[in-house]
Amino acid sequence: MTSEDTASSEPAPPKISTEARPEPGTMVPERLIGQPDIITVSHVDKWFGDFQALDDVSLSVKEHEIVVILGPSGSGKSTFIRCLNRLEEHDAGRIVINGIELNEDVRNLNAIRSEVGMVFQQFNLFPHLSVLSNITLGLRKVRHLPRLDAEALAIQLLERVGIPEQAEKHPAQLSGGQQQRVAIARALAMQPKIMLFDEPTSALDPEMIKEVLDVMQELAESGMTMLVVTHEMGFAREVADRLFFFDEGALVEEGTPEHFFTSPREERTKLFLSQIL
Amino acid sequence: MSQQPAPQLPDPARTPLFYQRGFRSVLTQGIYVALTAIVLAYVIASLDLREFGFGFLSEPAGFKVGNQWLVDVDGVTNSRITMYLVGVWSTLRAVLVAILLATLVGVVVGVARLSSNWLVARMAMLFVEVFRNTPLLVQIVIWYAILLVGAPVIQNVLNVGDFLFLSNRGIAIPWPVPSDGLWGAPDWFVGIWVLALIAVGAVAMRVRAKRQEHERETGRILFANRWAMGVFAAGALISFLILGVPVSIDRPVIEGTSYAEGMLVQPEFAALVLGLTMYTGAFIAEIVRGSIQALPKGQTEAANAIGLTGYQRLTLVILPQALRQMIPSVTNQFLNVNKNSSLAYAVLFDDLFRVATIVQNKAGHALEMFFVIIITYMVISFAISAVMNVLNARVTAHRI
Repeated sequence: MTSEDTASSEPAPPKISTEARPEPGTMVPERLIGQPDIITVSHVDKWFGDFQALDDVSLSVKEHEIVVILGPSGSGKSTFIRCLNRLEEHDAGRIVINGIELNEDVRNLNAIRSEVGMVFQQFNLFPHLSVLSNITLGLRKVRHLPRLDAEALAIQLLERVGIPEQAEKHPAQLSGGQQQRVAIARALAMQPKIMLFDEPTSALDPEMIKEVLDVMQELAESGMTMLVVTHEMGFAREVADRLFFFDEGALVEEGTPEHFFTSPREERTKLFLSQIL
Repeated sequence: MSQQPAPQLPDPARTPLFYQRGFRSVLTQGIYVALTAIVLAYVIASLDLREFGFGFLSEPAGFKVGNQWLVDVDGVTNSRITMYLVGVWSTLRAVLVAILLATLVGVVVGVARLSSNWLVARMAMLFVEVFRNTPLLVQIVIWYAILLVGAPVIQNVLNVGDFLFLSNRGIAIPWPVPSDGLWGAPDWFVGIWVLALIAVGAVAMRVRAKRQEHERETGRILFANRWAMGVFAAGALISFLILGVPVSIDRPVIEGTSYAEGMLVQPEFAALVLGLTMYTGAFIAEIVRGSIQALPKGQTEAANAIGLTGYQRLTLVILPQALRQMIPSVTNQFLNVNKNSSLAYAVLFDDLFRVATIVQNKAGHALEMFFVIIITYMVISFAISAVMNVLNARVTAHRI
C-alpha cells in the first residue's frame, strides 16, 4: 500500500480554511489605517489539562481600536483576553503588548499589568474597602501616589462614570450597574493603554446594562484601545471597529461589524449569529 | 371594584385538647421539668452537705507554688484563696501568651500552606499534620522532656549573643525593670508612667478622631493617623523623661550555677505554652487556609489585574477579608486554649487546676473546690468570648 492510497482512502476532515481568511490587519477600518499594532498574538495555544482552550490563535490589534470578541460558551474567548494580562499563561506561541513580551520575566509581568486594565463579569470589587479606597488602592500602593492626589483622581474617575456621590459607600451598598462602573473606574485609575472587558454586562439586570454600556461607549470615543467579550450585539454593531468570532478555541472569523451582520463567511459564524440575533 | 362574595365554609371542627399544639408543648415541657427535679432531688439528697462551705479557703495554705511572676507568696502566711489566685494568674499568663503565639503561628503556617513554593507548602502541611494529629498531653510532656533533659546543663548554657540563654533551668531573656534612672526614681514611678501612657493614648485617639472629623467636613487631608502617632510618641517620651527614666532593660547574666537579672521563663511554663501554641496553631492554620480558600477567586485576579505584588495582595486584599470570616472559628480555638491549659498538671506547672487540687488534698472539700474550678474556667472563657464578640462586631460593621 502506497502513501498515495492512504491519502485518497481517508479524505481530510473538513477544516476551517485558514487560507481563505484575510491576514490579520487587512480588515482594519479606515479610521485606524496607519496606527501601529499595540497587541500582537502569534500562534498561541492554551491547554487546561487535556482540554485545549486556545488553538493556534494569531491576530493583531491597532492602537485605539475597539474589538468585540464573540463566540459560544466555552469557545475560549474569555481565556484569550485573560491571557493578554497573564491571568492565564499561554503554553505556546507569543503575545507582545505595546512592545512587551509576555513571558516568564517578572519585570514584564509588572509592566504589562500597568499597561492593561481589566473589568470582570463579577466586578470583583474589594468588599472590605470603600468605593474610594477600591479605586485609590492601586494608585497608592503600586503608583505610590500621595493620598490627596490619589483621591482627587478617584473622584474625577467617579464623575466620569457618573457616580461621584457613592465614593464613601461600600460595594455591597451599590447596585450591580454601579459596582461595574466602580470597577471600570478602578481599572482606569491605573491609566492603562488597553482595557479588557470580560462579559462586563452578563451579571447585570437588563435595566443596568445600558448605564455600563454608555460608560464603555464614552471610553471608546475617548480613544482607548478596548477588547470586549460580550453578547451585547447592539454595542458590537455600533461601537466595534472589528469583531473576532471564536469557536472551540480557534479564531474562526474576523471582520467589520458590517461584514459580520450582513455577510458572514463561515458556517459556524452564521449558525452562532442566527441563534443570538 | 366589584366585591367577590365570601365563599361559604362549614363551621370549624373543635380540636380535642390532647391534639392542640399549645397543650402538647406544655405537656412535654412539664414532663421534662418533673424528671429533672426528681434527678436533682436525688443527687442533693445523696450528698452530705453538712460540711459544705468556703471557710477553709481563708485558712493558711501551708504549701508553696512555683512559677511566680509579679507576685511573691511563700505559702506560710498566705491563705489558700491567695495561693489559688496565684494559680489563676499563672493560668491567665500561659493562656494569653499561648493565644497570641498560636494566632501568629496559625496565620503564618496557614498562608504558607497555600504558597506556590512546593517546599514551603509541604513543610507547612507537615507541621499541621504532626501537631494536629497527636494528643496535646503527649506534646506538652515531650516539650518538657526536651527542655529539661535535652537542654544543656547551666555550666554549658547555650548563649545567644549574651541576650538569650537556654539551659535545663529555663530560658532567660532581657526584660524591662524599674530603675533609679536620672535621679533615683522610686519603683512605683513605673506605674505612674504606665498610667501616663494610657492617658497619652486616650489624648492621641481624641486628636485622631477630631482630625478625621475635620477632614470629612473640609475635604483637606489632615494626616490623622500620623498626628495621633506623633502625639503618642511625644507624650510617652516627655513623661518618660519627666519621671527620670524609670525603666531600664535588664539583660540576663549567669552567676555561678543560676541565672540572675533578666526574665526567666521556666521549663514548665515554656513546655505548656509551646504545647498549646503548636497544637492550637495547627488548628488555626487550617482555619486560615479555609477562610482564604473560601474567598472568590476573582479577588486574587482583581488584585493581580491592578498590579499589586504578591505580598500586597495578601496583606491588603486577602487577609483583611479572610481574618474577618475566621473570627468565630478562632474564638472556639481560643476557648480550647483556656480549657486545655489544665494539662499543665502533667508538667507540674502550678496553674489554677494544680493549686486547687493541692488545696483539696490538704483541706478536703472536693465539691467546693471543683465548684470554684469550674466557675473560674467559665469566667475566663466568657471573658475571651466577650472580647472576641466585640472584635467581631467591629469588623462586621460593614457587610462584605
